[in-house]
Amino acid sequence: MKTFFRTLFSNQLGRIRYAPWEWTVMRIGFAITFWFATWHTWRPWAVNIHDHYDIERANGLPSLMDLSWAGQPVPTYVIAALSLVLLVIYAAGRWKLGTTWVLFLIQAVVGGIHSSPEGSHHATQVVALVMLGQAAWFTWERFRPRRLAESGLDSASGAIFWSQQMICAGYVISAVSKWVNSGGGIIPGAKWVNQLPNIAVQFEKNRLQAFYDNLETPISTETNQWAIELLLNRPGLMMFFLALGFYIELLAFLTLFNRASALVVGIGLMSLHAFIFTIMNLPFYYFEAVDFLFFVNLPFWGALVLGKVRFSSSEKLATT
Amino acid sequence: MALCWVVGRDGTRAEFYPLSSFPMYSKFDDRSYLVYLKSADGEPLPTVPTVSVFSTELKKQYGDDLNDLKKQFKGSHFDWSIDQKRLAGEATLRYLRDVRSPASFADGKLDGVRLVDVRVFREGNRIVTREDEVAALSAD
Repeated sequence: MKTFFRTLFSNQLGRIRYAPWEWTVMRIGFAITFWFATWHTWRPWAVNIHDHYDIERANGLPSLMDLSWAGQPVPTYVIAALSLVLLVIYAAGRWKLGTTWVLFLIQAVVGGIHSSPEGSHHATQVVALVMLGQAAWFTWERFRPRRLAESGLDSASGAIFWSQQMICAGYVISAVSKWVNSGGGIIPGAKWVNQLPNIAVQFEKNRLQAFYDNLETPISTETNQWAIELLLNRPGLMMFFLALGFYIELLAFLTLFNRASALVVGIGLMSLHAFIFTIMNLPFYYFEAVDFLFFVNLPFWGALVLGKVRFSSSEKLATT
Repeated sequence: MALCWVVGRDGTRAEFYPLSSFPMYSKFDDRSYLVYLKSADGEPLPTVPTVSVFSTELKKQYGDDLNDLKKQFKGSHFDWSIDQKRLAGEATLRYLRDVRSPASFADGKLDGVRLVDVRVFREGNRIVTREDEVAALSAD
């Protein structure tokens, strides 16, 4: 435990070495996450892409050209079959440069159509961003100068580090948007926190929207009403907890510094999503998944407890 | 992503999937709104099984259609009359019928469907809601 806390405050930015087996676990987990984020079903025969969208308000690549043909049955099944084959190859650790770029392209098209009109939701962006980070890493790895290759990260550690950076970028940008859009100011998020009692309106809106989806009372109704009551009558307590959420987003980059901070901040981020789901009925499956895989990295800590990995003097925590 | 965030500062597009400024819940007013569907005989309709759209997406479309009217009407749409909002409501229903979910409207299944605009306000230490039917889709 003492070593854990010492590690928590050590700077190993860009120097953490991950074992090949950790990368394998993350890759398989991420391949499953990717499939579900792209097709929203486990059943390959039930895949679907919208075959109509408004190009004027479309999001990403679908706004540049009419890609609605992808929603016709044959193209949809071809794209889904291609993504399944590529994910199997990716999970097996083969042809990484090619598979990551093509998978990113598939996610950019299918996810872009599903996320149109732009701004309609932000559920799957993180998955495409992680795949983009990995594709960029494998490109860099392939073309980087030899002297940088010798001193730089190995293939697995680089892929994980670049994935982590993409996840962090999403969180930090989100926090900066809150800071600026709520009025800015010298103290990050102070005005956002000050506006928090009004989030009761959003809680009620979310409850009603969840109800109108299927005309069923959402499971979060009880906690939602409790949170609204608290915000309206004792706002200080809720403001404190919600402010923690802002600062954990803003400081998400701390996950990059060492394995211990990745674990602590990763659990914090997952708790934030669970808290939002409990109150607002907004699931963040894919954020939870990538946080769990790339930050919490439970298999490593399990292996540490079982004595399969050890602390190393150079990196504090390293695999044997 | 930072570029996307900067580009979005003047209100233009800050989204290019998967890049985003992730602006959700970045500021809070004491009022908000949502929409839902009603059948011709006035019964609420579940949006997912009826038109394969989540309520959040329906609200986003209606919000975009309200924004389009800002060239025509002044001020906030919270201050607009039902007649003013009707244009946006009709555009949203047409989008559902012609672009998003044509199959749901086939064979006149959703003739006379209506769009209900729900406004949610914080007034002191209570939450107040107000509903208005803003548009109906005729069988044309």
